[in-house]
Amino acid sequence: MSDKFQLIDKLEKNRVSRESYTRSKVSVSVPSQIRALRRRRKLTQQELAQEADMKQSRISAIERPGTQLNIDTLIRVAAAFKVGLIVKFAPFSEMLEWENGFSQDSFNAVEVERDWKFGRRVTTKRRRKTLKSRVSLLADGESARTQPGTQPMQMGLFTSPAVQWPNNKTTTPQNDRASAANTYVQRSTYGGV
Amino acid sequence: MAIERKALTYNKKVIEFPLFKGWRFFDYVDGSNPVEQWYVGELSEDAQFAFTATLKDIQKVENPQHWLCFKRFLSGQYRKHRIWELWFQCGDKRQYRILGTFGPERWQVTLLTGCFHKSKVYTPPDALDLAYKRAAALTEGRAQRYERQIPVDR
Repeated sequence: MSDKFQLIDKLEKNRVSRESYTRSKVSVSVPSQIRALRRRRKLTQQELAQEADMKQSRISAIERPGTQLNIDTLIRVAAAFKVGLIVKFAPFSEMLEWENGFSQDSFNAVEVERDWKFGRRVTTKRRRKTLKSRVSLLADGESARTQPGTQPMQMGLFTSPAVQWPNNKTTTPQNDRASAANTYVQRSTYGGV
Repeated sequence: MAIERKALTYNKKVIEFPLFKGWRFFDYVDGSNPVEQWYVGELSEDAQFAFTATLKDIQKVENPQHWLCFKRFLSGQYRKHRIWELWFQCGDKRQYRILGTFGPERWQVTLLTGCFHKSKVYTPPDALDLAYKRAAALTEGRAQRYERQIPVDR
């Protein structure tokens, strides 16, 4: 029987083996991620410790495989790095896949201020104003589409299917503008800050 | 950090650098394979998993100084063969050590011996000397290397 099947057999039958297996993966991958992020941010352990309101020795300890970490410590470190944290139960296959794809050299998680996917959901007053003006431009494009031989205006903002301009010909341009703006605002506030 | 280094030019001659594809680990072999014997015979299941996870992690890190569990280069007489020490730990809180050297080629590692460690005491006590002798044997061609397979799901 190959190593792989022996391992699968062991993991299927023995709870302690499952525990050891998962512990070995977590105890290496978490410190590895912390060190990768610290290196990417060009921080010393001392600087990270100050940011996370911890002692340098604690940072040194959590970058060591085998150290027991509680979730609160991880949250504090994540906050210091300005990133989120996922603690997720997953199938072994998924865990293994993640581990195989992980490399300390290439791992990165962008800070909240550079996380444009997260930031675009935030609608400030100024942004809403910009949005409305874009919507009005788009409405002009839509009306132009009805005329033969003209192309509607392409707006990058509405290229995703979730916020596509409604193709309802019965609504007036004013209603269209309002509904599109509402749709975007509603969607954009969902999950945002 | 992944270093971008495509090529250097010198007098219009392009010197290309090989790209890093991961470290390869070799066991010291002299008729028997003491590292594998240590792995199978001395390590608990927990420690075996931790050992493999450690090797899998450091395999992908180009600079050994950034290896998560790189301890130090040994000083004194052991400097001759540039023997270094890796460490790992598992649920039993016991500290495990692996002694090895780099080479013979780039991005290759030869594991010489495995041992346990607690406050300056190595078990077996002659672990460092053993590693030195083995490194010397490899240099003199009295022993061979055997590549250690790190399967993705071991």
